[in-house]
Amino acid sequence: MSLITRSRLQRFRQHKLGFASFILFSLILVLSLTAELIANDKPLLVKYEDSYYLPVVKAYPETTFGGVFETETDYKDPAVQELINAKGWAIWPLIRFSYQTPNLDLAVPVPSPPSKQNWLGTDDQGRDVFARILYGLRVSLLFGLTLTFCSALLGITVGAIQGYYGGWIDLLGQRLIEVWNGLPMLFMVMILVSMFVPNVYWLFFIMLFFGWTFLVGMVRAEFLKARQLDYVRAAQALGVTDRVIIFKHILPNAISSSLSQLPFILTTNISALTALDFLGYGLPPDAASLGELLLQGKNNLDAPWLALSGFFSLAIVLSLLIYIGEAARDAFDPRK
Amino acid sequence: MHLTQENNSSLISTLLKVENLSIQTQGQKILLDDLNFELSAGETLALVGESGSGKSISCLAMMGLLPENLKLKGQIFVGPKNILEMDEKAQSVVRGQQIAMIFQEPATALNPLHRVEKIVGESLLLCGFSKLEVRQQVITLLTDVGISEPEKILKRYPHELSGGQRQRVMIAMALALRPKILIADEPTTALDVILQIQILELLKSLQAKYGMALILISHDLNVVHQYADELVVLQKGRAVEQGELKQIFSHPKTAYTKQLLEHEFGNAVPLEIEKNILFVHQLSVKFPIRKGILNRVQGYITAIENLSFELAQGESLGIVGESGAGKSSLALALVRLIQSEGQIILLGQDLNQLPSKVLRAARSNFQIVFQDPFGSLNPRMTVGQIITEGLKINALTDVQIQECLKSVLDKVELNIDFQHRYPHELSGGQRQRVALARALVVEPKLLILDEPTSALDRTTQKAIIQLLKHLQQTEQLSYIFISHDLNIVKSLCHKVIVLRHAKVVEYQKTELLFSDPKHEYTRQLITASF
Repeated sequence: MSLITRSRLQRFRQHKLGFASFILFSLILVLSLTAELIANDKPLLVKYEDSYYLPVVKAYPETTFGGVFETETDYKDPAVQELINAKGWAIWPLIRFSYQTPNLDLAVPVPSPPSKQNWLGTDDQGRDVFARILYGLRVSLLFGLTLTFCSALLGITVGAIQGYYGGWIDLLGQRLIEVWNGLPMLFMVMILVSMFVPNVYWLFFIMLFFGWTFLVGMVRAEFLKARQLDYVRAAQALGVTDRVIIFKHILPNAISSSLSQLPFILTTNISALTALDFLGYGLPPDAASLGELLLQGKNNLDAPWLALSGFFSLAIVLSLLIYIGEAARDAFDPRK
Repeated sequence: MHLTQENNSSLISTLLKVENLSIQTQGQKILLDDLNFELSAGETLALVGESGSGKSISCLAMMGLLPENLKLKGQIFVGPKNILEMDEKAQSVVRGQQIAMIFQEPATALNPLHRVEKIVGESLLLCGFSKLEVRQQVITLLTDVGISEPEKILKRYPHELSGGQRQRVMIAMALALRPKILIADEPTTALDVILQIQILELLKSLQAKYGMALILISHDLNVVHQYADELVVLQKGRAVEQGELKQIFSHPKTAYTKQLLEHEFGNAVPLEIEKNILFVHQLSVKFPIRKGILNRVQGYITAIENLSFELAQGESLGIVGESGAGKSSLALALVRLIQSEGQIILLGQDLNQLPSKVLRAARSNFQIVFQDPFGSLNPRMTVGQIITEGLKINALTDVQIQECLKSVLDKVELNIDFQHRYPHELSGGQRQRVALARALVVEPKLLILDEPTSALDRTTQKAIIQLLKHLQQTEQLSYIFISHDLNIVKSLCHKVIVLRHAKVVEYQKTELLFSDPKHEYTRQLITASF
């Protein structure tokens, strides 16, 4: 690890709020990635007649446990539970609901308020809100991270080419991007999404199509500056190819300011996805998502736990990202 | 008790008295160690030393402008009062009225958003003069510093002035409140030799006119020797020699002062074979001026006009001229980093006609070394990576590359262990050696050196020049050596081209040029340099 990188990491750690946010965010990310092990309607481990079963990983027909149906076991069924408990035992996850499992034992009409069984209550279809937040966060974060990564990759490449070659390439690129940025992204996405069957991949490509321009300006400016520097000229005089100069000489020196912007881009992408979900143009209707939860909160004003849990989970994640971004920006600051 | 009384009586004629001044960083690093001197009206003191020897920081201390995290000991009397014991408000009265400073780089010391009138007159306005009075005063000041037609200059911005004019405006700004002491921090380093003389003459005449005490800071003893009475030679924060300038010049006591005084680099390596490898014919470099939305070319700025010369193997050619004369454009054009017209025939190939693929292969025949050893090395790469980059084009094995690296580091007199270091761990001279090694590793026939020594101090300069001479002998290299320092050119080059305003003023053998300059401008350059 070079000295510069080490001192940057140290500065990042010294930013207390940012570093704490980073740890908390990583924790949330890990929790949501392992959502199946925390909130699920299947047991983690079943012991039945001297053999062990992992229902989370593999689907077993009910006949395995002495039931009648050839279909996948419904572990919530009291009859099945009795069968398992008679000849073995089962370890359940912390929350016994998946994001799609309605709670059928509710005594009150849905949406039901928070209870011992449903920590944050249930939504208007009787599904556990906590489980839905957990799964929803996973979709949002993974979607946002991948989208950020791809759009950064595209933006940096385009910015690098524009800045390094300058001249007409730069001029045309800049005009194109100005027009591109002028398009109202949210509405364009809504129009395009309604033309296709809603599906995560389409949504991803459409959002990437309109959202890759974030970093272009910054990278371009860095390259315009760097291509005048003597070490770039020296490499040119040695006959090093443009590709090597761009990626090996200039990029490592130019990229730090862009990297520190990534948390902010991630924030933007997550809020954009939430907004689309809220408006009903985002992920497929039955998918768990923060936007869908907020929409339910709006439709069920008499059930404030819906709106409140949606709001707080979104607010906390976005604030964490902003603090991380600030810490990263300070750590990468070349003037320090 | 006796001592203090004596001090008080002598203070009447003494304008500035520095006693036991020491400056330390919080990390206990000593920046300045026990500096003592006195200065009376009309006297000139020169503070001389290499970069980092504590010249500038001692003057900032006299102005009370030191950063707060530095530890200060000692006393600085400006007039009867110790400036280090004053509060901020009292200090700001002393600054400007008692003591003023001229900075090294006028381009950054002048606020680019203000016009000359405001820059020069600001301190006067703050003292409560009316606008009309201020304008009158500013015009007088500008006339004093030798600006013709001051009324026209009043409304200009700094970027609309020439380098010399900027320096004059900065002097006028410092003189606005008629200070008793003027500190000039490398006032001429950013200027070329002829302007240097003019500015120093101006400072001298202003000193006589206003009866000021003058402190001249410089890294170059030869610049100050005609203008100062007293001399303090600083090395690593310590005054190694101090006293009357003439005395020190005739009998330097320490080896360090002798080194600083030395400006003789020896003579050029004699030529052995006469075999021309480079013909440059009618070379011109023009930069288009683009305007309007469509970026259409409206005209051209000429950087080099119809330049022709020849260069033999093992020969070196000096290119001399003031800044803006087109020297660097010539260097970049010769290595095909910028577009040019005309013929550059190296080893029978016209570089300006070669398609880019052939050119890339031919590049190993000619290499360039840049001026700034800090900017010319990629900060993210190790010395080994930087040097071997040029070898990647030929398919070599790792063992072969290591061998090349070892032999080239040997050539530039660096240890093989240097290959794992990063540029920021090296000194200026070491960096320049690495830059040289990067160029040499591809075994070029022609090396273009664009002011390779101007960012280095005297001792390092000397070592690099020795190295260049040695390489020229062993490798039969041809040099095109660009410099504004005639001393170095004289010691290294066989022929010299003097450039001015993109044109060749004189193209001559070195001995002839120095013994019998044909052109008035060359004569000026030579008198200004020696």
